[in-house]
Amino acid sequence: MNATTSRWTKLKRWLMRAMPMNMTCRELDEAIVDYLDGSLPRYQKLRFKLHLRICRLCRRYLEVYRWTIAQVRGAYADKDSALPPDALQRIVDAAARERTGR
Amino acid sequence: MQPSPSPTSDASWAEATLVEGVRAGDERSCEQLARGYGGRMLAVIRRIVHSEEDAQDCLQEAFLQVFRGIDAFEARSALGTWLNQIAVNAALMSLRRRRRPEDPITDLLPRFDADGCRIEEGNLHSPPTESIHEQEETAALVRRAIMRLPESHRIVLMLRDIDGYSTEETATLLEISPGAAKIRLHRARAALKTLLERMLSGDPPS
Repeated sequence: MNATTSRWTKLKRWLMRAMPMNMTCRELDEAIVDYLDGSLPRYQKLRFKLHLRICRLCRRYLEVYRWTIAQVRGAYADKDSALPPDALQRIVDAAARERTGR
Repeated sequence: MQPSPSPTSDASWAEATLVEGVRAGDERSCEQLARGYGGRMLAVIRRIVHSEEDAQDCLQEAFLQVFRGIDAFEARSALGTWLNQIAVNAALMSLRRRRRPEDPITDLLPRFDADGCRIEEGNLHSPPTESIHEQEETAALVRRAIMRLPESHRIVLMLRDIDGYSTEETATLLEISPGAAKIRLHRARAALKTLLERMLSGDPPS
């Protein structure tokens, strides 16, 4: 940890103690899902955003966290496909067997 | 579940006719239903189970349940949504039958000091930008990373972030509380973030 980071971390700790409204990084972490879902209550959202203003690490964390979600969605975006003919045949045969009780 | 686009009256009529045919035990209607909706259902199942063989078994089981239980379908919900739910349940049942021990993911989760301050780590200081030809490679890498997540977390991620189920719907499908679903979702995303950071920076994922 370099001197600048150390000074900044100390300032952040002081801000977290001096401003009861500010949430800790851990509290922010626990609220990320609700924040991204838009279901965080108004006051909590304000605290969340205030923390982001003063915490570079959480800003960076949230940015890469959002990128991760986008990657998950993108990784399966075109994965829906037509039913393979053999899979269709299996279903048709199983249904016929069930109908005839065999 | 994300809302489906409103069906046109023609589409609704065709869907109602198809359902009536299946109710009457008409073979062609059953086949048409499987042909029309089976691909999407198979994609949903493949994301949950581990092998293609299991996926096809689950799909067959799901359709048999559909044919047996078509009377339970109420036109208030979209047919596709109802079928997907049956597909998800069939896949989850298959997983429950052969539950595997899970590796802990504690080392992939963010760490905090005694004051609740984030401990700096992670190799990505900003999201990578990539060219179009690199996207498919990244998608394959992301899919590999997702498969490394413990099953109980991976399933929540799939249901929430890909299949579009809400926290409450996910919790109901998995028979857990909404709070537990939310925690698993966050841990899955956080662990995946760490895995992707390690993989993209060339570090061997531990």
